[in-house]
Amino acid sequence: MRGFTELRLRTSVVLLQFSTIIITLAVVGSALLAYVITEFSRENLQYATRASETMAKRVEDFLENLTSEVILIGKYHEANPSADINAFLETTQKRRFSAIFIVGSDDILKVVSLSSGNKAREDELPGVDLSSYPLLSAARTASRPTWSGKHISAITGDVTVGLAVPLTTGEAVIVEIPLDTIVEVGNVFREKSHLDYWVIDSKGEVVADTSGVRTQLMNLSNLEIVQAGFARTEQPTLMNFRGQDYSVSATYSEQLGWLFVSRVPAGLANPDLQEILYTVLAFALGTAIFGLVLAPIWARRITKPVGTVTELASQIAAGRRPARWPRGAIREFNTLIDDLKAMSDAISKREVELRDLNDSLESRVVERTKELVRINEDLKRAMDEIQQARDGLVQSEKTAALGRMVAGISHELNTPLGNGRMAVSTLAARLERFRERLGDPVDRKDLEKFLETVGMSVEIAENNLVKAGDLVRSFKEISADRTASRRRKVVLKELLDEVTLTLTPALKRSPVTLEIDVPGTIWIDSYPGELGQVITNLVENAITHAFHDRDSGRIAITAVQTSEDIVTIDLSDDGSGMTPDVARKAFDPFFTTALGKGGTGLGLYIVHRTVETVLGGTVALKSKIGKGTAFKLDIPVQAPTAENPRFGENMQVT
Amino acid sequence: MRPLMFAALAVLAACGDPEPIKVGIIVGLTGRSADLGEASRNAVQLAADEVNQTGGIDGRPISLIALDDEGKPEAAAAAVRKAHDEGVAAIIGPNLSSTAAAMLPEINRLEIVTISPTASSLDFVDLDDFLFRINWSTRENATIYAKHYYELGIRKVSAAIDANNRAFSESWLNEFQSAFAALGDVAVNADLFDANSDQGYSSTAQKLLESQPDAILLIANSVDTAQITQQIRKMDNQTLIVAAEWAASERLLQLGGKAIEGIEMVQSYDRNNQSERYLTFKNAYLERFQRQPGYSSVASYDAALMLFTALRKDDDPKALKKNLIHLPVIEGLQQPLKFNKYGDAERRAFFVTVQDGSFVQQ
Repeated sequence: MRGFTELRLRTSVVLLQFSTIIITLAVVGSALLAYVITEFSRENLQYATRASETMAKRVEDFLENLTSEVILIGKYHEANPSADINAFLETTQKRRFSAIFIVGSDDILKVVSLSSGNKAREDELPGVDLSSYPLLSAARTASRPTWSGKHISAITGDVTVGLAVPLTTGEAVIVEIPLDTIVEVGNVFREKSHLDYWVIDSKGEVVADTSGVRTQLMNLSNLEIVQAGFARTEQPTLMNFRGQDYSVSATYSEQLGWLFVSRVPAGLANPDLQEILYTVLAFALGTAIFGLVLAPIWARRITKPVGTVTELASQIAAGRRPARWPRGAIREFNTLIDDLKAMSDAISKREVELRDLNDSLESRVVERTKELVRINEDLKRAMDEIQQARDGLVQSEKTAALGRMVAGISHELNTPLGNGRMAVSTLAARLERFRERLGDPVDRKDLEKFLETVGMSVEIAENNLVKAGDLVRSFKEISADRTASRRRKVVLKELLDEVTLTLTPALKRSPVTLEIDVPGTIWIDSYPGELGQVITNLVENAITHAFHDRDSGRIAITAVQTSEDIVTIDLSDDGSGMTPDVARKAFDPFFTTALGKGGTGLGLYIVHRTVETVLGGTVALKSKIGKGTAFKLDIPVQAPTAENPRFGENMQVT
Repeated sequence: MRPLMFAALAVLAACGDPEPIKVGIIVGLTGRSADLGEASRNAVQLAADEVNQTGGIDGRPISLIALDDEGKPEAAAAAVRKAHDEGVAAIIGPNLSSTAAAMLPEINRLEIVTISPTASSLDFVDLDDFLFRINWSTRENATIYAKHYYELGIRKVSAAIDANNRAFSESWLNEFQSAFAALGDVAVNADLFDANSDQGYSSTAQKLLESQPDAILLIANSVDTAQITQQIRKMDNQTLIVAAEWAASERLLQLGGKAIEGIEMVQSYDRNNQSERYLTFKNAYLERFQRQPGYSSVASYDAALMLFTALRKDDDPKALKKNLIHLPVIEGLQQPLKFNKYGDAERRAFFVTVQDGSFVQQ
């Protein structure tokens, strides 16, 4: 499972560089901005505070100057009550006053001078009653020069601010100046275009607003900063006005009764901060773009040697030896290329060595093969020789068995022949005695006795000769069977009886009894000689091995026709039995437990080979130490005629 | 880059707060009618603050944009365009019929519902347009004056009418003349005067006195009424001076001095109203602006009340006209409020006399 997409080195280097730039910019930029914004807000507020104080001071100064002038006018009028004040006033019209007038102690306007120069108005205004004019009443109450808030001029009908200076005579000098004048004064001291001032009168009306007329049109008495400014309580530092945040500061002018509120856009809305932000942003963007442009170039520079190395490695991997080993400016890559070169050299060298080794190996293999072929042939030859020897041995064993049988037969023949001879000798001796007594009177009794003896001797001789003849005939059968491998149909019981006969001498020499329990109805069409040999070998094997130091023993042969085709012959003894190891090897050629005691190790081997190859059956043995051994032969009723099954194929040991 | 940045900043500033509903106030904040304008503006400001303090209109605060019509038709028309540029949902104002007349084509063209607290020229009556009025027309007012003074035995009247607000003053004069003439054998002399000319007020005063009328009728703003009265009183101490309701502001008292003692006029509100509703308003106004509310304050507050009620129904400016006309009767500061199908409403009338520097209800 792959967790991520495979990228080209160059792409990943570009991405790496670019993300490094972006992350660095983001982290450093954010930290920087956070610092700058915090610092800026602080400075912004300080700036606003300083600005409002400065503004208040400047406007106060400006208006104080105007006040001094008005006081001078008043003093002049006091000193020269009868003088033509108009002429004097007209000379002062160079000032910013829109109107200047003197009110009598009865609040009736005495003389007026208008900046508009409207003579008709100047002439008709004296005599007008100003007793309700708020500015005048305020100044009379305060008994000092008093500045008004924003109000409509009683003289010009314009919205204006005014100054009333009460004179000691009870008269008063009133001047009015247009609102714009205050705005202009404010603008003179405005340091930045985004720094704005409000001059707010005691009613919350905006006397002057450097930002233009719009906010001037509202009453601002509900603003927190205005309320705090007039109440001289702690001021808020931030103000939201028409959806925009400002750093604000208010300075109250005791002299004027006005509040000077300076405001600078706060936070991101502040142009100075914006400029810083733009600078930072431009720098960041520039860096990013520069990085973006530079990253692929740089990446190519870095990835080029990697490409070279990769190409070299590919060539080496493909089994080619690179012709060129280009070196670059990066030490590690050069080292890598050097190492690759060394590796490639080493590989080439090994390759040559291996090829040489391969060549020599081939010739050695040919030599060895030849040698092996020769050895194999030797072995084959030896095997053949061994096979021949074994066959010879088997043949010898067979011959020896035949010899043993002949010995047995001779022994069997000996008895009837001896008996016959003895009867004949007895008859001859009687005959001699009879002849000697031929001259003697023949006693009937003697004659009868002689005849009886002759008759008995003849009978004995005849019986024994017949018996001998029978024996010889049966031996003849057996030997004919065995020597010629004759196939014939035989009753199994008769065959076994005949074989038993040949074994009689051996059985007599041992304490073993052989019991045969085979029904006379079993016929086989097979090789009786071979089967007889098998039975003989098994019985001899049992006599030889199973009953050492035993007083008695029993060998039993039974046979049943287990099926239409197969006859099963069981041959069991109650002897000492075999160890499993022995049982496993019992059918092997030359395996014997009686080596040096006359055992050839071929008896059971011959049994096995004969059963399987000649009779076409199987032989199996079961044995248990102390309990005896049982051989089981399954023999076809009809022995095979065709070529025998391969030797040893059906061998079973359990 | 810069506009983009500004856009981003604007988005930053805008998010979080719901979009305010902008309402324009177009009144005279400079010029001779600045007293009316200021009083109107203050009242609307008060009404808007009350709405904003109680959560605005469906969460949207009212943002007022005050524009100065300087009492001049051209400036008023320009102010409408400015207000439209600002994206106002409606306009409250103007005070003068002359400025209203200049604004009318603009508000109808731009389809901005405009509620004038005080404009009363007959020119605006029974028109299916975007101008709503909270005042009587000059016909009702002038008729009231005519009846009142005819009953007082006045037969010969000299009138000075403001040339700068002829939509109002001529309409007023015409209605007065026809109502007065309908009552019996009367004579009305009328002269236009222009406060902006170099001639001053004395010549106007002289002209008014020349025919020795039973009463002098001044159809002018408070400043001019005060000035003319000052000039009249320098020459004549007897003749009854009657001012149209336009002049009935506090400013008249401040500028008129003793000269305006005894001058009579109609005010469209009850100065002595003792209802809790009105007193609360009056005290709040006084505390906030350190002035008494005037008739334009009361009318403007009522205008704002109706506007905000209609906006509460649906803050879509397109539905505003229909909603205003179909508003049920609303309890105003001193009287029930209801627009007819032409967007006109009625006011009560109270005669006042200036006595000892203040208005005294007759």
